[in-house]
Amino acid sequence: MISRTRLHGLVFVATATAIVMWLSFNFSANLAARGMTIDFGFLSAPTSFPIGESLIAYSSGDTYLRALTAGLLNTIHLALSSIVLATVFGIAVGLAARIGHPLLTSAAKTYVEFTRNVPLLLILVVCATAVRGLPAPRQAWILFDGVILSSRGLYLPMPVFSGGWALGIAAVILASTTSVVWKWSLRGRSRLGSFPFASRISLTFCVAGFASLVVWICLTTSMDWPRLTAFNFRGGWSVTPEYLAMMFGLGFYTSGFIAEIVRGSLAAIPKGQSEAAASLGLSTLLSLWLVQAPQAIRLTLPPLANQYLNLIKNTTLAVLIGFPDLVSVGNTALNQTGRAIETVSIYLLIYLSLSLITSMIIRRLERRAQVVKL
Amino acid sequence: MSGMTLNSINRKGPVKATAISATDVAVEITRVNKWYGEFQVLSDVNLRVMRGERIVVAGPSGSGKSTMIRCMNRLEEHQEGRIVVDGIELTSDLKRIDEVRRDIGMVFQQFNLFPHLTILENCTLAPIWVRKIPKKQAEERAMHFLARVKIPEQAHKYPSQLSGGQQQRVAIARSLCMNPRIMLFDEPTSALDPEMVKEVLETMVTLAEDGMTMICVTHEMGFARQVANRIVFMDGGRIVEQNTPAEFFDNPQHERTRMFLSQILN
Repeated sequence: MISRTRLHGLVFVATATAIVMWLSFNFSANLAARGMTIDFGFLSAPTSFPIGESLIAYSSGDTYLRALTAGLLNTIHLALSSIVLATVFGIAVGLAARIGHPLLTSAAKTYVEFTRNVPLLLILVVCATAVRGLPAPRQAWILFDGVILSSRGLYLPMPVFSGGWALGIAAVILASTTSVVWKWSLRGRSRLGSFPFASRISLTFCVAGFASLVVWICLTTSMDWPRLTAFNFRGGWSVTPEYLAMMFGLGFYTSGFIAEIVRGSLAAIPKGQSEAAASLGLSTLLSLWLVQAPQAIRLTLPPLANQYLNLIKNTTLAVLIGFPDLVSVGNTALNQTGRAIETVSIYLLIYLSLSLITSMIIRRLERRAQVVKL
Repeated sequence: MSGMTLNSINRKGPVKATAISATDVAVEITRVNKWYGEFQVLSDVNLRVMRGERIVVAGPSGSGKSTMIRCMNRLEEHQEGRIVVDGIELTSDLKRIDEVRRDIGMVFQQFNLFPHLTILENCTLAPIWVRKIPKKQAEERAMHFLARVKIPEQAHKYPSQLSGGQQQRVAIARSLCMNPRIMLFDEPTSALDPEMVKEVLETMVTLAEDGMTMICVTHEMGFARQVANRIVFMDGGRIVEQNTPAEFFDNPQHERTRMFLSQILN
């Protein structure tokens, strides 16, 4: 006689297996009926389309694999900068809603309601339209010295490191040595009450090492300034108007949600905490920084991870305004090769991995932010 | 008098009278009114506390006791009247409020320790950031006060690892680390198990013996009789009666006070 729970388990496994088998049978039958096979061989075939912007060298005629990689890098680049933008604005607006002047608070609330209640697609269309209105290179807006905004995109001066590998290796060695020395010194301090003489000497050497590294970097680095040529700018670091539109659209939209998360997490800290901080004479800002924020951050992280995952998946809307992200490049590849199932399964795998990596990073942060350490 | 016997403190007779200044006013409340919306919580409250005095504020719940002492360090703001603490009038001027708060300690019913910091860090946070005392010195001072509330061995634990009574004693030590001139207690023993009430009350008695100016909202009538110089009885947002403990318990002047005492002591 098998137990009830075990029977339920067996029934579940049997049903699930049956469904998967039916789906895969259906899948291969349909493929066979259309005379299709699954073949990733197209990835090494040459493409016949250009990509608007790419972080790696790419031109028409390179392989599909390289084209998709360029698209993936664009997606990651866009997602990262949008996440930074959304987080910075979100935290600022969330704090304003919580501790600001009444006028600032209502401005923050308006911002949140606006971003949350306008569809993302609409925001992106508005941003895409706005960047089309940017002036031609000759009439470009020079925002600061070397920061230029025009219909060709945003140009910034870029530092050029000519120190090469030696510099990188020196930095890594120095950083790891310092971290070892620091841990060792802390152990010494907890034993003796103050840093032992030997660790004070070693720490001084580490500081001197960093100072000379900075000097080295300063001596070997030059700035590459963007300059106007006949029809465009050259040099410096630049992003296209489409990139700007996507970054601002996604960043703006997501920042509203993040602001609400920040405000809500701070509001969830018991009132007694800020009262205790106030009664000890801590100012509003100190109370926020030392008492409320460290406790709120633990509440912020899980919903923040949701927003980051949403943002990463929302980068696929880049198709709409012609920014060559993974899906945009992939769709072109799909049209040209007809490899629909292969392309879509590549999307699936990549977005799944990006999301899992993001959740993993946030989980780690969550563990570090545990309030009660036992 | 069950309230007195239950938590009677192992000391004989009232706390020795320390010098109460005749001229030095610690807190002066003049004609204060306060409303929550339509509801008036404080009506025409007048109270003068001299330096070195120990005041117990008693009264039924909702009578405005907590609100009154929370107005003294402006955790609540009053709408009418004047509150002067240590010669500084409390207005909406944030700088002055912080100045007053630095010199007034407050102990809450719910302890309100900072859960993300160790006991020691709880005690050194404000001295380091507000008084700008070097960390080492702040830690020494914190250990001194933790020893005085008899829990120096818990310094490196987190608040959640301590019992309620221990947490409340840490809260007292945390306030003392700022060297306050006045201590406010807002029902410090109401959230504690009966056997922990005693340890907290004893800590408060020691503080009283050292001559600290204290204003306590409490239902511990045994403590009131032993420690207070004066008992202030409030009801409906007004101060109904104020008197020495002996007069207050044995010869209450108002019908409302008699009713309250008969309820709380039987």
